[in-house]
Amino acid sequence: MILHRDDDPTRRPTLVETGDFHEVTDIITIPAETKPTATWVILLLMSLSLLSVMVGMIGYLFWEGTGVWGVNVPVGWGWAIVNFVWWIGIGHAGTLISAILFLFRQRWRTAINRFSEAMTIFAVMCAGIFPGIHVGRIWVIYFVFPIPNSMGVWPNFRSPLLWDVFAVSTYFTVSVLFWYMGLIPDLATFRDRATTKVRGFILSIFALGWRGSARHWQNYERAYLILAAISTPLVLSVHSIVSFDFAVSKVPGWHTTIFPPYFVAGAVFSGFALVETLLLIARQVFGLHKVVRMHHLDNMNKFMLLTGSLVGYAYGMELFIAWYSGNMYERFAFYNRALGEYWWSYWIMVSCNVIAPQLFWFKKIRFNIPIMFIITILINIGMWFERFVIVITLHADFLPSSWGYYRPTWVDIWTYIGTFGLFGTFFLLFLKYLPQLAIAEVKGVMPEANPHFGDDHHAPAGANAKGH
Amino acid sequence: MSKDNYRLNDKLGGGPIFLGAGVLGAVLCVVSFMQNRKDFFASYLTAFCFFLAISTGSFFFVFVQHLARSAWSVTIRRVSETVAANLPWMALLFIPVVLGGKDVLPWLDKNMMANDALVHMKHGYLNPTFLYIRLAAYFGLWTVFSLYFLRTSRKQDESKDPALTTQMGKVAAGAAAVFALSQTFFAFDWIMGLDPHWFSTMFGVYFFAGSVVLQYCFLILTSAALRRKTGRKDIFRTDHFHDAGKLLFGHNVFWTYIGFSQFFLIWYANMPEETLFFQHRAAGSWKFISLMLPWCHFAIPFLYLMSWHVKRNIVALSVGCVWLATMCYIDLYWLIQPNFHQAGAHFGLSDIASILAIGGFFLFLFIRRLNSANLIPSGDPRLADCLTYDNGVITNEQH
Amino acid sequence: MEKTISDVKPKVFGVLAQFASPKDVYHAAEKVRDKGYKKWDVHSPFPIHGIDGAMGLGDSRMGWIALFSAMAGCFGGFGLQYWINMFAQPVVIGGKPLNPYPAFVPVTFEPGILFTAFGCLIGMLVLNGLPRWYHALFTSKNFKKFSDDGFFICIEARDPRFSLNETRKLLEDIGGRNIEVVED
Repeated sequence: MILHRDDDPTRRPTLVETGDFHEVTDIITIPAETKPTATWVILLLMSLSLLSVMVGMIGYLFWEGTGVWGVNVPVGWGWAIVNFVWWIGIGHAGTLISAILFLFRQRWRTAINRFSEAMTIFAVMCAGIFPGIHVGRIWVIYFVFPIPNSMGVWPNFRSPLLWDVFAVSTYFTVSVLFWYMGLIPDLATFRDRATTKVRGFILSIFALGWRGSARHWQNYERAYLILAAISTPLVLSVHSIVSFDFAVSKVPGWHTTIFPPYFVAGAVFSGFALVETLLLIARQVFGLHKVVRMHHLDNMNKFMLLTGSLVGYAYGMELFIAWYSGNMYERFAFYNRALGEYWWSYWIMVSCNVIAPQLFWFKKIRFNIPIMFIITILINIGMWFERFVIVITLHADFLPSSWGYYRPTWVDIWTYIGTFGLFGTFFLLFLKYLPQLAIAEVKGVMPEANPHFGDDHHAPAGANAKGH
Repeated sequence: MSKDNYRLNDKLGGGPIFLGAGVLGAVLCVVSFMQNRKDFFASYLTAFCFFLAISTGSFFFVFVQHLARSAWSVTIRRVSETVAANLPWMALLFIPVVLGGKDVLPWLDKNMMANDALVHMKHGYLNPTFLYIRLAAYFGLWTVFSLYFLRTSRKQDESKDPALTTQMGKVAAGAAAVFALSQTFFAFDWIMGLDPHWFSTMFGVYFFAGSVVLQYCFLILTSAALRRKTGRKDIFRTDHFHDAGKLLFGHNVFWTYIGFSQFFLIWYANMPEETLFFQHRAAGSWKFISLMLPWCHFAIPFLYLMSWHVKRNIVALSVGCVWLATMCYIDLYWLIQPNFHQAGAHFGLSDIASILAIGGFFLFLFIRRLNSANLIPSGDPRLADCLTYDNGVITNEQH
Repeated sequence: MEKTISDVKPKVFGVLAQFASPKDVYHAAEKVRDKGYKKWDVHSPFPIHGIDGAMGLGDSRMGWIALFSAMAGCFGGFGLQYWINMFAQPVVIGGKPLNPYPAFVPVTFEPGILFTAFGCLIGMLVLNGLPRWYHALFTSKNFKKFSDDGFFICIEARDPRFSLNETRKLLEDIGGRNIEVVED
């Protein structure tokens, strides 16, 4: 006897519960067509006030200069870079989740891809702020781009900070394109349901006249596949380049060859965690239980277990090689991380990133929403501390006379908190006005969408299509 | 659809030829050992790591398929299960290296252990007792897990019990943890340790990346042979080759990424203790190999395998696999042999003898075991999906 | 030439028929293809797997567009760095040669990706003749369902085999419902 997918206990159904395309359209579009709820308005106002705090802090920074931050000798890179790497790490997972799962034909991605892509874009916006504002002389920020100028000065293409400029701006642009490409058919759905003239007009512009033609779908699908295929190495490259900011230096604890893949694994890890945090909230608030199902969350938890363990592997390799290298500076850097003045940040990092996700070995925990919610929050905290631990290695550099203790100022703290306002504002607007899930894709993975739906079980699903 | 439809009676040939090659190689190995011990150990270790990488890479492939619950790979998984189960034999083939002692690992020299400051500092790790305990642990764990997967899968051929699939999925999670550490430390001990002063946190990942590329080459070539032998295009489907080809392509890019990152960070920081590794590989003819690898291991296969016409054409794909497998050998040669031949590459009798000896026995044992049971895991509950899955390519091919 | 009343009179764009499910529209498409029609299209809320085969369409040209964009980006990025470091501003930094190839990899790779992404989106739109504000099919009220749960086949009047009655009959025979003549 050969088991088919439907009878197979080891494979779970990957699709939405409903079998009706119209119901899917309704589930996803109605939240965007009804009046905003009070909760949403309150959340938006809160986000907007945080956003204005951020704007105020940045204004203050521009007015006074970077002295208002806690950075000084020996810690010249403080919260700004920690926040940058943290946000961009979160941002990295979105596109990677979406693109990699697409390439691996993981159909359950439809439950999370639109969310994570949106999250990517807003997280990269938050990340981009920090390198943008930290430069001191903000009025010459255009120096970071290779713009011909009367001074004949060009950027230094051997500097990792310049690679960052290219990597982050490319990443932001490609993520927006990838996201928008996925949105086109869904915007057409919104357009065709629009009841007011203004809404119809605006949506018509952004839907680009999409009419679901099979000839168009063919080019569309190929273009989407290529975008997914290039997004995957892009994500790897961008976080690798972020890791180069540290790793091409000679600073003990920074210069280690495993940094690029280790940063990528950490980015995916934190990104999955934040996607799940937001997804759990949105699922509750918007009632998406039929589309975002328990086994989707289960899969995400397993991914976090995997990436968390990879991050743990990297921590272990760093420690081992620091000892094995026999280099006293290297050995001291790690000794100091774990047992020095900042020992608490190191152990927060280890317990949140390595130990907490190990709970996902247990099926009960993978299916327990409150616990997984707490773990995802812990992971995000842990990943912030990972970057903090790395940056703060500077506090005890080669010259003991200049060792110091770094503390953030209130400006540091409120700028960081303020970025949540930026993220929250955009995310709430996205949740309210755009399709939260990829409508066309959710429909496309329903069994009823298969042109051979209901045919003989054993007939090859693709064979008929290929026989011509 | 009758049960017998998936019991394949064909056998893969070539066993006696490989056995003969193995015996011939063993004789030549003795000859080359008599001529020059250093040459022999360098070559033997290189050839050993090449075939070991096929097995460990296949072991990785097997447990990943279980973890991912993948259906696409069911029919070709038996090849990987079987070649991973060569790991216990690899332990026997490793004996000459262990007997080599300080001719292989320079730090085993009592003099060096006592007088070399760096080696002395690492004594807690670099000491013979711990080295052999670790070695026993690697091979012990690999034996237990690889035999478990092969035996359970074969048991399922008869019982068709889906519970075994669930069980293998669980064991696979443990296998992943064991594999990550054991393969890393094997590479640290027996490849990185050839130069006990040099270190790189990425080294384990680099060896892993190469082993997975090699694994896909082996898998594709063997499956192509099985497809030709059995004539069962419905079991060894073009889609399988296409997907395995995509993964080969992806993992080769991963290898490049890891290799480039490792080189780049060391090159950029330019610290003497690390740069020496590349300095040694810039000497004499090693420089030629160092410059060749990015082009021949990455650029050419990248452009070649990008086209899906190549990946769906089994002959063209096989050519790519032979090419890449050769590159993987050269990569290992480039990792290992500069520690023995500082002046330049030195390919000779000992290298050919080692490849013949280890490769001959390796393939003989593989074929014998593969032929001793069904060629595909016909009891796997995902077999039906594997035979019908659709990888999204619309072609005009007749199946 | 002066425009006459008859020129302004609505022209027939084609005949539109709705089908109940992806399966129905798939098999209907096979029949339309076998009748030898060329200027026709299937409209659906999501891509139906294998419909290009059922319609007898050729392969998409997107791959070539992407490849050329990628090459343009990579060569552009590398060329920019090479020119700046070798000619515009040759300064030795960090003890590296003027032209340190490995250090140029990041900014060679990133523009390659950036150009490919633009190539994909713009290329897709150009190949599809988008964006467009107006299309004859948008005049049909029923057609709006294409983005919800409607599956349509539209055979256009510019197809040489098109004949209002026969085409309409064909669409009826193969299971089409809500058949309407769309005017441009």
